[in-house]
Amino acid sequence: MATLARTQTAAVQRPRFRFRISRVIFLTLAVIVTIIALTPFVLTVSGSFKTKSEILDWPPTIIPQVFQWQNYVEVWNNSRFFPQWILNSVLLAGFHLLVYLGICSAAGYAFARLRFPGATVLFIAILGSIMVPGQVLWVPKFLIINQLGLVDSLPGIALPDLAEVFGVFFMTQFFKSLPKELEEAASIDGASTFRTFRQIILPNAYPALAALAILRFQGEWNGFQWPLIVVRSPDHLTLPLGLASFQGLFGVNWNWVLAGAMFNAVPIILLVIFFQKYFIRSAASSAVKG
Amino acid sequence: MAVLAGGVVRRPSRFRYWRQWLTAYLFLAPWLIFPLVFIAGAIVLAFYFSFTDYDLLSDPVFVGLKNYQKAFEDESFLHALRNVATYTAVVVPSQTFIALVMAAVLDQKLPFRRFFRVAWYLPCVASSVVTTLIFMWLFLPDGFINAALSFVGINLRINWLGDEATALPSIMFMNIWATAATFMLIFLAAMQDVPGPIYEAAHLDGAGPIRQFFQITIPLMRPAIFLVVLLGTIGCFQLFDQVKIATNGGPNEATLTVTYLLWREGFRDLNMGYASALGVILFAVIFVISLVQRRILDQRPDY
Repeated sequence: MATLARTQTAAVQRPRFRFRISRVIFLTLAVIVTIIALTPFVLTVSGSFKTKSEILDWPPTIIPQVFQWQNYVEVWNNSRFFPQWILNSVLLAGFHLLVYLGICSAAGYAFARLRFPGATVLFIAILGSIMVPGQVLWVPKFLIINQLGLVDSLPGIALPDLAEVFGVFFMTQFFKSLPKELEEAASIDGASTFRTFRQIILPNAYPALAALAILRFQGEWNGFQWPLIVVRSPDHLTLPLGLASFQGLFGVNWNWVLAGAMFNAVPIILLVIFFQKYFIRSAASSAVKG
Repeated sequence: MAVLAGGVVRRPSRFRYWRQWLTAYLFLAPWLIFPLVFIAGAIVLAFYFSFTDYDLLSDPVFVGLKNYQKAFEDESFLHALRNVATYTAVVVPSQTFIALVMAAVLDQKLPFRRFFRVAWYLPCVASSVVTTLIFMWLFLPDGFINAALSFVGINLRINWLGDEATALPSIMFMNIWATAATFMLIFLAAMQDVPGPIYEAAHLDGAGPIRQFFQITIPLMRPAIFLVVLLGTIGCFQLFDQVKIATNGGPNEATLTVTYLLWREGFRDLNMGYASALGVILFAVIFVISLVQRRILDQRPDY
């Protein structure tokens, strides 16, 4: 047993270009990429605490001379609807976390485990729809929500976004990977399909649901294109839309713009840092979707 | 399973089939209604409206192929196509190469690997609005980038996003910065899928690490490279957010893209019919390009 295990690990190990000079080169490259990736963020954080004049000083100070906490207060107070924008984005993301996750797991379960006529055709059609660029549907989707009377409202943003197909694809793949024995025991006990789903399947799906939740939160929290088309009035904007209207509003007050941007960036960056594992997993598979 | 203790296979009755189908559709329906309306229905409507003149106020008027004809005589549309083609030709090869290098570095047993991975991925998770605002600030005439350039002796004081010559390249830079790490994750996953024994065999045959990389890793990663090039191209053809936020297609249409033109025609000027036609053309262009790329790139590795 022990020898077998050892030969297996030996076979799995791969030489990763292990000579000394290359290690130095790789590490240097890693540091350069890190600097390029992080510098804009570091400058943003420090800029959001600077005065209007210090923000454009050269050489830039990483630590502001005097921390201007009031940048954050002024952003909050001076643009009348800022708290409303944050609330709108929270509502949008919250609605999607509840509803989208629920309907996706149910649909994914149907595709993975239940038999019904048209399953294959439907699944292929869903995969095929990934090929259609979102912008092609801007006009017809807008005309549909216009008919429904949802233009310039949060439901007008939220409902069409529920059509997103990636979640169903993701949950289907996950449910297929669960062992069938899980449900068989339940069905012998005479549990209905719905009860099996709720009491046996869902509790086993937490890792997948967490990965999907993070991805969906990112999608709604950061969303720009579709909200831009749907909403007009200043009190119905989402946080990204409100921020995009800032530079016109505040002109040259970049310290305020940067402070505002922090409200959008910090929650999502904290999520990545704390839920790294889920993030990388869902991001790698969602990239396949584009 | 369906096999009972005595070895008798119980066949479900017709009634049970119906019940099963009904259950399945009940599970499916709450979600399915949305793609039926907002994808399938919308695709049909997109085609329909592309053959009409429609301004939201009066009823749509059927005009045949007029909108399509108009597109290919529209200077702005041709200009947008040229811009997007230039943009794609620069961004896709650069970001593919950079993502490949990043993945190759992360595939090493380096210290702080987890830190590097998260740090590199941060530009991809910040919203397009945030990254665009940050770069608008960095690209200012008296902003960080000009200051950094003059620090190393290059005194230009360019108005990066406001100058016709530099606006599109600035957006290229911004987007490569913001998306390279997404593609790195695809490459990284593919690299870790290359079976170890292949490297060992190569090592025994005397192939050095550089040769292993170019003659084993790269060829075996061809499907991943195809995927990254395809997704990158599709993404480039859809370039919108940065243009809308930073330049509004200007200066002098230097950053006009097909999707920005579609938005301007449809939602600023209310030419819904013409905007629909532009959408259908965009879809056709992306579809043809992905077919061509598939023919060129998506071949089985010759091992």
